[in-house]
Amino acid sequence: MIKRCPDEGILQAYIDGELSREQTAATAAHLAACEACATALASAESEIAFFSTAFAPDDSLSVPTEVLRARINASVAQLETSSETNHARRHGRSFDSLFASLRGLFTFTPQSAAAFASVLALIAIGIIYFSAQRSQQVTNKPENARAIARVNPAPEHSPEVKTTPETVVPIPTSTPEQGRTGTTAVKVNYTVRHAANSNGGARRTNAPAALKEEALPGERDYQTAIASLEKTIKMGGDASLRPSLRVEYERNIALLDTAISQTRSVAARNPKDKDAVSFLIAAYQSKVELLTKVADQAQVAALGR
Amino acid sequence: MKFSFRTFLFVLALAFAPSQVAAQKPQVERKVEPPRAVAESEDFALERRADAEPKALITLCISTGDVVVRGWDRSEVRARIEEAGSLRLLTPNVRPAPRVEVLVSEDKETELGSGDCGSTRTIELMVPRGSTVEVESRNGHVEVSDVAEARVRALSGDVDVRRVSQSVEVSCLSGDVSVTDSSGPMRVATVSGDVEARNVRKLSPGDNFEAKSTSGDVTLEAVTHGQVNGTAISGSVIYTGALARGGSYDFRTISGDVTLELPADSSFNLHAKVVVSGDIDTDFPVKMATGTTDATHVAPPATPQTTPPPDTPALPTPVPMPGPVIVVMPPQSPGRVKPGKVKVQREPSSARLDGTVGTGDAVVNISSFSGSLHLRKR
Repeated sequence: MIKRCPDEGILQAYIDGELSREQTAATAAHLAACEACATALASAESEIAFFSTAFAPDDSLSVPTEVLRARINASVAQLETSSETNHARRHGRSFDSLFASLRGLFTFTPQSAAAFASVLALIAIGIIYFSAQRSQQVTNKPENARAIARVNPAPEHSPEVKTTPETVVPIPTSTPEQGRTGTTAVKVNYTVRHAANSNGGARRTNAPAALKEEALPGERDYQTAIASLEKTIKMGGDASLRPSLRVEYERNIALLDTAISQTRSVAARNPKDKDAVSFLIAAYQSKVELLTKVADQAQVAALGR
Repeated sequence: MKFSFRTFLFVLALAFAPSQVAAQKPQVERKVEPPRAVAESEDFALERRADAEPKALITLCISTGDVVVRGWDRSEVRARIEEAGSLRLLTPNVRPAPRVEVLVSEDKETELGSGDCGSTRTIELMVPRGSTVEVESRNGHVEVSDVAEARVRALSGDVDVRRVSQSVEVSCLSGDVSVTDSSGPMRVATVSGDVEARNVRKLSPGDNFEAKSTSGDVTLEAVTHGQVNGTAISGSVIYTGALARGGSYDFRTISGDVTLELPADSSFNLHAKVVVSGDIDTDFPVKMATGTTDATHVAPPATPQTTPPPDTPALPTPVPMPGPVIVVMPPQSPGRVKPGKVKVQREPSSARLDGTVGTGDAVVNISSFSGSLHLRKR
């Protein structure tokens, strides 16, 4: 994100879509966080809208006269025909030169024929030698692997890995005692993850995370709806919303995500707290409503209405 | 001589002929004009009219431009635009028309079809007073007044609704929404902007009022509906006015405050809660629900941590405890609610206040996740 407020030129370029992808992302991030800049963007947009409306009748006029346009078209057509002829001519010339150079290759003297034959023979010998070496390596490989296994036994049989699942404590909590166990659990999890990679215990590794991310009642439906709407909005592309509106949209989405995250943490800690749960649901509901509005717009833009 | 006289008459006729033609020409052109369709005025470049039923449905979709809709006493729709372009009133083949679709474009050559959204600088519609108006706007302000029903969907721009007699429905993405002097069921929502409603009333007992904003404030004043909901996410909710007898009021916000400014003689059951942080303070004497036989008690039983002794005076300052603070101002007259009966109920991470003010004629639910709740006497 850029720290300084973008100047008018950058804002205009941002509106016109003339910035690079990185610059656009940086400017959008700054605009989402800076209210003054968002206001400046909105006013720049309204100015553009005003002028485009004011000059719309002039823009719709075909400025070059018919005679001038005819002359331009004639000149373009003439240029095109001449360039095509040149192109064909150039192709012909290049083919001639290519054949001439090849012709030189196929004129043999006795000395050059002998040299060529010896080079070919050397290449053939080389190929045979390398293929023989390669086949020998392939036959030796299992033995090497077994030798390595003897030196360093398979990780799934290591004693420390076997004990780790028994010491895993699923969820770290906020109390001091549990906090300590939580730290242990993180450490143990790390060990288990490495073991799990070799013995297929991925499910066990992710168990604490899964518990942590377990959806609250009714939450899954909202998440599904949100994912679907976000997909629709993405398909609509950036053009479905004006830049200033997109900034507003992103600002509000960030705000709602924060609200969801905050209410969720409290609701997850105390699922019986109806107020916390209802605040979470309200935040989800607001996000769904916002996304629905923008998705509608994206669909309208996609239809080109 | 005879020849010369004829020649003289012919020359005279030739001389006067052009002036006669010039005098007659404007009359011929005026006849060609359609009698009602086009009548250019000084301020508006283009105007269209159509006969419409008194309760007609008027629709307009506009991608850029301001919209002004006003009701009048004629059974006629009149549309005007400020600048030259294309304007069309699409009606079914019935007179007067039960519905009128207004199509507008800044381009003269554009062929407008049903469902198209055009652009112009400003469009003004005069519609029958009893009509339903549906406006869809993507960029521009919308103003609707003196009609029966108003339904506005705006993407970017403020929406102002006045004197709508039967129902209001406004949905906005970025812009402020204002509803005044209107009646009937109302649903008003904006994402990025404030909602203001003043002097709005119900038509029938079941009419609800609902106002919502994501990042703006919700300000309600003199709302007489039986059921009133005000919701915000990061903004505040402010309600000013009397409570209807038997009315239900629900105001909530996640990170803002809820403020109620009520008449001193208000009577209601109160359920107030802050979930994470924030204060609850009230100017009203709240008779606490103690979990005995009080029918209005909805709070889960919580262990009171502070019970002032009976002789202790009222608590004028926040209770010195960690976590959320509740300031309950007990009644000045010691006969009604004794200070000793004022209990502060606490849950591990939240503050709750349930009780009755007066005889509990209305129900007030107010809550904030991390903001404060205020009940003020007007």
